[in-house]
Amino acid sequence: MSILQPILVYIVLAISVGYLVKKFFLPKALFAHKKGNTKACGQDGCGCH
Amino acid sequence: MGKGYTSAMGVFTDLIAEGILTGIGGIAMFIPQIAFLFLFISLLEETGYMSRVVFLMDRLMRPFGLSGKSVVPLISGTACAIPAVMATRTIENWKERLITILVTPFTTCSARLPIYIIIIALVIPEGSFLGLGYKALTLMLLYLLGFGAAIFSALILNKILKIKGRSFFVVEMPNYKLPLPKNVAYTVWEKTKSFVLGAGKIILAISVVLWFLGSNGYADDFKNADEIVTNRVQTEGFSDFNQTSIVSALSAYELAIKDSISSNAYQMDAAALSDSLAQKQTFLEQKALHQEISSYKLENSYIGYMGKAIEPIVHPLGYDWKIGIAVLTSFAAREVFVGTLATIYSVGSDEEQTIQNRMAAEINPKTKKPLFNLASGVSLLLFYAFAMQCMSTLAVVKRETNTWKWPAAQLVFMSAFAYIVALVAYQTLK
Repeated sequence: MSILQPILVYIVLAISVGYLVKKFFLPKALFAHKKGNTKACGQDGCGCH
Repeated sequence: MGKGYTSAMGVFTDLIAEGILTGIGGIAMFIPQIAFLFLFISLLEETGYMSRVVFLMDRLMRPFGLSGKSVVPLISGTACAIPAVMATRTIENWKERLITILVTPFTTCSARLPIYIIIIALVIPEGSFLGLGYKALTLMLLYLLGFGAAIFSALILNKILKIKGRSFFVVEMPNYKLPLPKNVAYTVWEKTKSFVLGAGKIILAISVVLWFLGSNGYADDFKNADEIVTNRVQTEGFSDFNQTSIVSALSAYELAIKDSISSNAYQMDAAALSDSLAQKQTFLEQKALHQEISSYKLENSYIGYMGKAIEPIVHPLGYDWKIGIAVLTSFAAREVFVGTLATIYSVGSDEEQTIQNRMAAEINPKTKKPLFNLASGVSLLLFYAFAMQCMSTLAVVKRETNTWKWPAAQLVFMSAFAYIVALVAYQTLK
């Protein structure tokens, strides 16, 4: 039990750092292909909804 | 893992109690104010009044290089600058649109509201002027200051930018109507939920990182903090602040007991009174010792070193290294400021207090006076009124202008302007 708690802390820390890096430092284009049809709204309206 | 934890329950429990819950709690308490803000904006839109405002304001806005349609982003900016910048797409003239994009972040967005509320509550005194409380007046002034800065910047940009293009004004005028409660409720719910969830994920992640950095350290000073502080207290005594706190708390306790005895609430002989006072003194001294150990650990933790490194930059503005860390993390988003302070003060304190009480109890180690006074508070308010503390807005400005040139210029100008205004305010008022 005493070993489990630090392990959980490191897992949560790694997830948090990963999320912040993805959110602020990695270009969004890297994840765009996962969001389905991005061509549907045309060049002008993309990303506004 | 260092010796940063104090709870017998374990480090993960501490992470939840001191990192996650305090960080999220710091922002969750402002949900009602933010919901009210969205409610009033929604009412303006639902009644059809917003279109009239656009029409009425067109002539007024022209001398500043703005269009009547710029009013919608400027008003929407009081909720959030991101949709407001995107709302500039309805402005046909590129120069007017660019100026609107560049000045919109000056308007007081909902993310600034938690900072304003907490600092105003701390430093602005009670009292009223013409029936309006000083605190309410300060908040109103900050909103006006935001709009004023936006209009003034637009005027300057209109003179500087040499972009030519035809400008025309076409707007559809809907009939006046009573707002549908269902629509208003849906808008308020969706926008508040979006604000809380959008900001909440960032705050949660930053709170976890901050807690880790504040609860761990590599230096011997951190690892042997218990021993070092205990020895120091035994030889030199408690800090001046803690000594004064113990004496005043003990006097208040003695007075309360004597009052109860004199009013026959209960009986106590002299020996029992002395025993009770001794026990109270031991309790207060243990509490003070815990606080001094926690504070010493925080100062020698990873975050303590980071904060000390940036302290020379923020010191002229009246901030200590803890506020410096909060200013730094709130570059991600302004609302992170309150969550960061909640996390930092939670790590450095054993007390179950609100963030406001913790901030009020902070003492400047050099002046031995409260850290948050009128000068440092006003400096902080003005810094956040003008600073471009929002990465997401910068990303949206880049997307809307299709270049990094404008968001970079916006960041440099707004940050430098905010720093200078905050510096002048602190140096004048201190």
